[in-house]
Order: sequence, then structure tokens, then C-alpha cells
Amino acid sequence: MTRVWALAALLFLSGCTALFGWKIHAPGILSQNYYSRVLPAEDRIALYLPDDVLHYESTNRGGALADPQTYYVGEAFAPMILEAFQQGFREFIFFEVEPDAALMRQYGVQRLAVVRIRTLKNRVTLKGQAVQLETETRVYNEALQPVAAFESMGTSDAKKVFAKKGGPEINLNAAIENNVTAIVQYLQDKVMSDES
Amino acid sequence: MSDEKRQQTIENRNCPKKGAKTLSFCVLSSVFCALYSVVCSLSISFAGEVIPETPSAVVVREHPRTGHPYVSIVDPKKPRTVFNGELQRYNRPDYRMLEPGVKPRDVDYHGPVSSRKKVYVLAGVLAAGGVAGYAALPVSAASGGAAGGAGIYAAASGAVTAGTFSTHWAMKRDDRPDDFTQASVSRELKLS
Repeated sequence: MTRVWALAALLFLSGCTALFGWKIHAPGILSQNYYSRVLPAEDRIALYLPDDVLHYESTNRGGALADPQTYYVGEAFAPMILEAFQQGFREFIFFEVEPDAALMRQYGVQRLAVVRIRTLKNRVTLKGQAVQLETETRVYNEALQPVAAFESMGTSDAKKVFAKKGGPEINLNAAIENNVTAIVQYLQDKVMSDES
Repeated sequence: MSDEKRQQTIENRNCPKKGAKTLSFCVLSSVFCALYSVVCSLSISFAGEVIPETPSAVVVREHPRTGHPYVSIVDPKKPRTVFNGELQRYNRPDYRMLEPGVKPRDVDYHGPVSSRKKVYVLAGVLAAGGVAGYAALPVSAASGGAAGGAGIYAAASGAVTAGTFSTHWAMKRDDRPDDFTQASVSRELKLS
């Protein structure tokens, strides 16, 4: 009997808990606010997203006694940052292939941004939920030498998130949007400061 | 010289002949061609760098959410799946939905949702459904369930209870201040 309970507990802890939690998929599209906050810059920039970004997931439940949550961050972050770069720069190139110096020179790319997700912080309390997405961006020149690096944080909080249909999804979407806004605005400032 | 011939000479000076016009045009065009060839040869001689071609291709793809086209550099021999093939169209989110008192239907939200009720109903069905419910379990759970199916159901029931309890407990707990902020921040890092 003890063995049965041990096996049940093992199964419960290893995978069955996923059945009883929240699977949170953000819409993965920017709001209209972004288009009013970020104006396009007259520059050519390329973007590369490593594989770990595309498949990034977080199971940070935001509290020891909160229900299990799985945040599918990467699947929403990738299209959102792509859209953010499309709007933020007049000439945008997306590298699906891993970039090297020859590729950079062949396509006349002066700057390449490589973005990685560091972590998704989550805090669930009685009143609401705060999620914060942290990323690290490195900027490379034509010779693929690093010229800048910066970290970005996008935070969103709201009350009664889990009581609303689609609440956690929208809260995650807002945190991602705040993050990509910070990335693009910093890049635009960096690009402009390089030119001046 | 007669007056008639003198008058003709004056007219010739003021207005050159057609042949002279053609000659000057030829001279000008030849000078232009010479200058152009010199400029071209200079540019060729200074651009001595040859950009090697890489095994890559340029494709235009559609954004998976908006459908807007973008330029993508791909490796034709090793295609990489960045986005799933399907185009998922959602309305742009309206973050007023996060404000207190605003409901999803107020902002016409049609995006993805995750409902806790569904999984609790599933858990209840699994807990009460016996073998039929057990068949719906994932493979990982089913593989171990042959020895202890009842235990799994008991655990499932426990999870439902624990989830309800934790929600109730969280409603009673208010020992942390709500200092949440909505922000976009970037900080420079030192290159290593």
C-alpha cells in the first residue's frame, strides 16, 4: 500500500500537476499603444532569435501556494518582437539562419541585435498579479563584434487577473510588450547616438 | 568686298552653320564618354573587395499574427522553423481590460484563454470516472497507473481540494504590499 501511495505521489509531483494548472498563451500581438509610443527610425537593423528564446517557458507560479501555471513566453515573444522591429525600423531583416560576418557583409547589415530571455518573474497575491519579463540584448557590428549590450525589463500588474477570462494572457502580453518597447526604444537611441 | 558678301559674312559669324553644331555636339559627347570611362575605371580599381556569397537566400515571409511581410535570411539547405505555419489572427489587445471593473466583453476580447474551471472539471471527471476517466490520462501517467490507478485518482481529488484550499487561503492572506508598477526599462551592460 505504501508503494502505491509513493508511486501516486511521484506521478503527481512529476507531471500530473500540469493537468490542474493554468496554461497561459498570450495573444502575441502588440497593442495599438505601441504604435503611438514608438515611431520608426530610418535605419537598417537585423534581428536574430536563438532557439531557446522561441521555446522559452516558465513555470514560476508566483507564490508557494498559488495554482501551478505554465507561461508560454517564447511563442508570444517572438512574433511580438518581430512586429516591434517592423514598426521600429524602416529596414528590418530577420535572420533565420545563424548570422556570421560574411552574411552581414553580403546583405549590408551594419547592426545586428540578438535577444535572449533571462527570466520571467511572477508574483501572485490576493489583489493581483505582477509579471516581469527580463531580457538581454547584444548588438553586433558588421564584423560581428559586440558593440553594445543592455538588459530590458517589462512589467505589468493588474488586479483580479485570474478572475477575468483571458486576464493572465493579457497581463503576460502587456509585460512582453513593455519589454520589447524598452528594447526598441533603447536601440533607436543607441542608433541615433552612434550617428550623431 | 561687296556689300552683299559682307552682309553674308556677318550673318555666318552670328549664326554658325549646322555642321559646326554637329561637330560641337560630337566633341561634347566624346568628352563626356571619356570622363565617364575614367570614373568607371577608378571606381572599379578602388572597389577591389569581393564580397563572397554565402549559402543563404532571401525570402519574404508573412508575420504570423499581422500578416505583414518581412525580409528573412534563410539557409535553403537547413530550413529552420521559427514560427508554426498557421497564421493566427487575433484582435490587438486592449489593456483597459486589466483595469478594475472592466470585463473582457467590454473590450471585445477574443484572444486565447485559460480557464481553471475546465481543468478542475477534468480532474473531477478523472477522479470519479474510474477506468473511462483513466484512459484520458496522459501516457506518462497511464504507464505508471497500472499498479496504482486508485492512488492517482486519490491524488487527483487531492489536487482539486488543494487548489481550492490554496485559493481560499490566498484570499485570506494579505501580508505583502501591492507595490506593482507597469514599466519599460533598459539598462546598459558592460561588454565582457
